[in-house]
Amino acid sequence: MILTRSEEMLLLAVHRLQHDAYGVKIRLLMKEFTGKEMAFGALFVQLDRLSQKELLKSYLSDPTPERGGRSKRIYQLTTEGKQALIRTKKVQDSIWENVNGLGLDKA
Amino acid sequence: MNKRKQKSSKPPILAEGLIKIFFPDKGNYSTVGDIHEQYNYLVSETGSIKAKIWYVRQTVKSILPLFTSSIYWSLSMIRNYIKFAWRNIKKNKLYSAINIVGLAIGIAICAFLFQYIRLELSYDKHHENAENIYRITEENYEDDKSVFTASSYPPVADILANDFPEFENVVRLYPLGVSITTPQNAKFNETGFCYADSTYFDVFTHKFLAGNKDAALQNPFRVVLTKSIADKYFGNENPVGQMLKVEDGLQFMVDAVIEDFPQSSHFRFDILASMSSLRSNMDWFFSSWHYPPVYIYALANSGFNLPAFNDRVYDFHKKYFREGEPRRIQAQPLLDIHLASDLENEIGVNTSIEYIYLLGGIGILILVIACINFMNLNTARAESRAKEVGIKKVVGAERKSLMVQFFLEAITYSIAALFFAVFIIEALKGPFSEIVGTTIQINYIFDLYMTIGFIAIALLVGFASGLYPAVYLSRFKPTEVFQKSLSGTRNRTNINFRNVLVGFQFAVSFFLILTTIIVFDQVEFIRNKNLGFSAEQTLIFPLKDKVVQNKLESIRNRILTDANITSVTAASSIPGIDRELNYPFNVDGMPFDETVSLNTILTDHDFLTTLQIELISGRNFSREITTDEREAFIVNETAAKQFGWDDPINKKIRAQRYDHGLEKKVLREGSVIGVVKDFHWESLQNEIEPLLIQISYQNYFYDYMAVKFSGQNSATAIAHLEKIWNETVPHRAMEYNFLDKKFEEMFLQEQRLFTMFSYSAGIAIIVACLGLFGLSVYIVQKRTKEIGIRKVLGASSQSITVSLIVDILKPLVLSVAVGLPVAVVFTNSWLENFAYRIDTTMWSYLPALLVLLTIAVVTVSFQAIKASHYNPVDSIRSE
Repeated sequence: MILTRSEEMLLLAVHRLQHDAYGVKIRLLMKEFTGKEMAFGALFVQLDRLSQKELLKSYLSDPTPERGGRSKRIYQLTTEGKQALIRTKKVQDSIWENVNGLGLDKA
Repeated sequence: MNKRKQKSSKPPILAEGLIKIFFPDKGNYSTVGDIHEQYNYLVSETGSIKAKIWYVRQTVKSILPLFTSSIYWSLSMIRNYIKFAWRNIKKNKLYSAINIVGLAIGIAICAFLFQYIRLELSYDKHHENAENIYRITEENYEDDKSVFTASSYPPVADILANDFPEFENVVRLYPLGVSITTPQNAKFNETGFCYADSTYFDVFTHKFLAGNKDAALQNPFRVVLTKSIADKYFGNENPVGQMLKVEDGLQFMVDAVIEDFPQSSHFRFDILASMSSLRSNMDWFFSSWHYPPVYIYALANSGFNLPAFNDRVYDFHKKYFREGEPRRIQAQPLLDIHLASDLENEIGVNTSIEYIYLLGGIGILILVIACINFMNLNTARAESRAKEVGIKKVVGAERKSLMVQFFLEAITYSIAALFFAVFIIEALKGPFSEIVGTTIQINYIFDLYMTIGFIAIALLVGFASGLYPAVYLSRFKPTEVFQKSLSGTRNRTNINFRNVLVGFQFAVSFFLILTTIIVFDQVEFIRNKNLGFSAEQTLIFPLKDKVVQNKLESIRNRILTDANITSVTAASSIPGIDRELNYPFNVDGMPFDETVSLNTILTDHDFLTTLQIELISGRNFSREITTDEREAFIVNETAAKQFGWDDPINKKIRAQRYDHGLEKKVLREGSVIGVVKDFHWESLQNEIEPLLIQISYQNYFYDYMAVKFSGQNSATAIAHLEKIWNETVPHRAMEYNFLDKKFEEMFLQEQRLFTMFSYSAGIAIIVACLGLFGLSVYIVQKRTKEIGIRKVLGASSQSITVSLIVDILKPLVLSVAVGLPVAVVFTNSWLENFAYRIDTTMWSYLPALLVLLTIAVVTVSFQAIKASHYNPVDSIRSE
């Protein structure tokens, strides 16, 4: 299965953040990736869908005071999630191999 | 745990609530936590206001993607619900039909009312500056009463324009029926002709179809036509620049053509003529403080303040009215006129806001009755549906999803009803337009408000009628449902609740029936009441100009040569047609310098004979006695009573008036020669007032001519009159009215009220009976077995029928108990409006009771009789 670009970015964000991978941080990292701010709603919908596809799993942390006493939902990659990322990377590399004339070097 | 960190302000509650609804996360709210954390961060970074804005924006942005995804997932479920609803509709055809027809009637009524109320509320809003336009009205006060008139007098407008800078433009309207001759020599009587100042189009907004707005009405002898009049006169020709002959010879040039006045304008004219045209032959008009009445409208600047103006206007009174002259002027907002204004001499017919409330109230009641049908039939069927609910719950349905199912079912019904409603609307358009007195147009597709209104009604009705079934049915517990059919205490309260609802429905019906009957009685009463004069076989001719008035003598003489014509009279006004004149008089028994304002008619010697008014003492005017012309008065009984005259004959009366020079002047002095029996001058809402009848020695006062003819054939009499008229005064087409018809028109308002109540009572009872019928079908079905057993044990068919009817109709006792007092209070307060009214007793309420009982018993007996004739063998076996 090949991931879409946004799925790929989300999974990578979760992976990078490791034990800190919850809504606020993921959103921040996504902003760094793309330069655009994502609405929380859009983010949760995507995360939900990835969980349904079993590329992500999640658990609840202890409630913290700065969140009005609510837990964090921390996301983690599943094995399938990791494999999907690897597959996607491979496909991308092969697509990009030997591409000339775009001006990639200058950029 | 320290849950909240002090200074961190709370996020907006509403937004937080929304987020919680859309991100439930099984109650953990971890997502809410995420947003909260970011929010707190923003509070410390940018301050709480910016953070709050962020929170709200975030909420809005977040809900959309979530919403679409949730719709995606729930769509399949919805399809399932609708399938269930449809199966249910098909399974119970009778109930479905009752529900849908009932709801459709309710929705149709609401659609009419919605449209009508919208029309009423839109009056005069089409003028660009509607909010800043005021009408100048006048108040004439005496010791104990004030008379407010919608009109004022010509010089007031000039003074307002000069002395009050807050008025940007002032315009006078002087409506005057005229006869018009087109260039093709076609002659028309136009009642919608009106002189208007050149500022008219600066104050009011009209759409120009031809000609130039800035030039319109700027010069004397110019007119502006509406589209329909332009078409009538000129057809396809270009009307601009054409000449029209007004009355006997004045030529007016057409300046422009505007769109017809919209229905929602409180005054509507066909032809506007430039006011300056009057300078040439009626120059006195512009300085006359007493005659004729004109309508003055002023466009105020945006800083205008009504209370401040009404204070300042005292200076105006001081400066221009003689000291102690009992009159004041006032400003009245344009937008208040149609809904709230009820002054003397209104320019058109206004509505009262009470009428709108009444109509709206009745509409809502009918809709409520229809919704109650739905609730009742659904709860009655609860038992058969209980098993369905039980099984669904066993299989795993949550209560919430069952509620959604019931709501959707109700909404499916109401949407089906919506389509039916369209047919009903088409069928009832005519009668409804008649009730409200204006044409109601309904555009189903292109009218955005209407579409939204329809959908809103459908959803609202669906929701309201589905509420009780949804809450009640979804509560069943599977264990109870399967153990035995629902019985015991819960079911009993259910029956009671149902009875209360049925009782309410019939209370409304009872109220409407009773009111209809009382209104009908009163309308009949005032129609048949002896008016005190004879209006039959009497023709009324308005004499609109001097030429006609001066030819009066020769017209009269020629008319009287016809054997069919019994009598002719001319007068300043005629009962039922126009108001009496009102002048100050001094009568015997009053100090000389005091006056009282009295109604009077100036007429000729034949007024009493033509209208067949009964003389109770003294004598009628006589041509032999020459002093009668200037020195005789005939008074009515009320006048004699009011002045405290035991023997009115020969009592002195002086007519006094303030002249232009503001000098008090005795115009005429004379004595009473006769007393007439009281006769009604106008609608029976008003009490008979004192009246003086005197001879006019100037043709100038004769605004009307009344002709009494004998024999049944009015057509020959009219043909004869028309011939004479055309020969004598060829410049003006003949106009006439039947006096008795005119009097009928005065009861129009009451007539409309009666029609409105009879229709709504009819509709309410139809809808309520639909419900009662459905309910009786159901009750009989349920008791089939019981009836069978009773019959086996020896009960007769009759006794079973009676017991069934009594059982079903028990709630009607409640209806009468509630409906009767409300109706009594309502009808009595309505009757208070009439000076002459019927007495209501126990007996006037009885017919309503009988009507209600008959209808209800008939509705129920079909089923009851059918049930009582079942063969016990079949009914006991049936399951």
